[in-house]
Amino acid sequence: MTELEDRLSADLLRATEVIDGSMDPDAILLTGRRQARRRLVGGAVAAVAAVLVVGLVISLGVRPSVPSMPAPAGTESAVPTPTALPRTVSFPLSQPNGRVDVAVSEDARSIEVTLTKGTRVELDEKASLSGGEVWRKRVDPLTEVVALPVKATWVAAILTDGTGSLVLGTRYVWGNRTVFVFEAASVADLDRVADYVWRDEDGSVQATALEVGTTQAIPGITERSVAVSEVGKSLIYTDDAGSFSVLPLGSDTRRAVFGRADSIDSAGSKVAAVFGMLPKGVISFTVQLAGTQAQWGKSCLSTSFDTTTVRCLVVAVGPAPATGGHLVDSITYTTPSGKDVTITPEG
Amino acid sequence: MFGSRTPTRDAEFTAFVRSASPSLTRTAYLLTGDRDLASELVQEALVRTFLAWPRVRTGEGTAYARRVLVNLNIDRWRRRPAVPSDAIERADATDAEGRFDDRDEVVRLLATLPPQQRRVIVLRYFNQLSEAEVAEHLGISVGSVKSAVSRGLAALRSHYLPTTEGERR
Repeated sequence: MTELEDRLSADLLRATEVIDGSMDPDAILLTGRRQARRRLVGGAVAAVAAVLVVGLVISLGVRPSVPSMPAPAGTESAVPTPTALPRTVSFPLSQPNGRVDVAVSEDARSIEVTLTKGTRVELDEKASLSGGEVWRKRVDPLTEVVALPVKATWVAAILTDGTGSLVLGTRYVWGNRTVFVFEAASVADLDRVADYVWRDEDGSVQATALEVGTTQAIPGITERSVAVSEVGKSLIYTDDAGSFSVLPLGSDTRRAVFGRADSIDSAGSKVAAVFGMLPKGVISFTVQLAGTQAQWGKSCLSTSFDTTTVRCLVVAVGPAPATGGHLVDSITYTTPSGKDVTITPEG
Repeated sequence: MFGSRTPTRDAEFTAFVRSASPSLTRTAYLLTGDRDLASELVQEALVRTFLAWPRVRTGEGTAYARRVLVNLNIDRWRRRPAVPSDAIERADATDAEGRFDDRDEVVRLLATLPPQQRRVIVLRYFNQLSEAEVAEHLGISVGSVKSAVSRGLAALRSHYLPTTEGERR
């Protein structure tokens, strides 16, 4: 290099040495996940439009939901794998001679729902499907038809009181769109459905208005996830076996909210999970685990790069502690006003 | 969350962001002359790198992110509103107390170069890329890089060493 080039290099370094340049990885990850999700949804719509060509009708049974919290592992309903993709599918109802027929157009932009009881058509309605949105239609006091913009491996209803209910009825997966009929045991049950939450085929937990949460996996133990449903104002904890728990968030964003879920892993061992959400604006915290075999993870969600809107999800997973024991000894965090707080989550 | 690949992917990407973001931000600052804009460009470049992470993480994350960053800055430059030339001349010439900050002199000089020459100079002399690597980053020929370097250095020389060769201003 010439003297000028050497001096130029040195001065360029000198001009930038006062710039810290550190970025918050969580904020980048959050934005990246959102964009990835948007791409996924866009791809799903395109895929549905591409594959809705060949017709095959498969009838699927639907059973009433069974409120459960947490739901036992292994209650996930089977997803049929059609050999060809129908444009119309018929869902028999538990009501005598009742059925719902659902048709999606080839471009996946419109849906038609027909409710038939006996020989009488009680409802025939067409609607537009927009790209990434969930479409819901209550076709009678006990029955709702839902179209999800993804291929869902399980679906749960989030109730207005913040609890959850696994949808045990079968779903029909139509390319990358999932259609299911939620038939409640009572009118009150269906009135209480605030939101639906589902897990897509790559394991992501989603809902009508969901912030993507955190995932924690331990070798030999099924993967755990926590997500938050903003519509249902709930935290949803799941594992990849389909068991899940729902924790009401409450309205006070200054409070930490934590709960515990127990399940049995594939080897028959008891597994505990402590999951929850720290107060709004808390980004600095430490988690002290009680046992060496436990692990924890976090994901901080924000509507922008503004840290005051951040809420961090935490999930700790490990072998279930003995009665009276804890999985997490303490979580210490600093509030936005600078106050240090230590809590011991339940469980 | 994005399924079982997420914990590993997130951990890798988090480590990458921590290690690469200072250098990327400094590069962006030299390209733009604006710290806030530099931050915005790096954030966007890192998000795009995250989306492509499975394809780029095998040791070339920084190079990929830097390429994205440079391209974002080119797009920004194409979309930029017209700015009076004297505004560029005056920009950040002094600090809050009216003193001339010598450390920023080279940044101001870079701002006087045409965009392509500035990009080449920054990648070549700040990022220490070879002429071939600069050419790959910018999607231009090595000959174009050599030409831009030559013209850029000539322009800087007249400002950088305006009077006596070898004597700093």
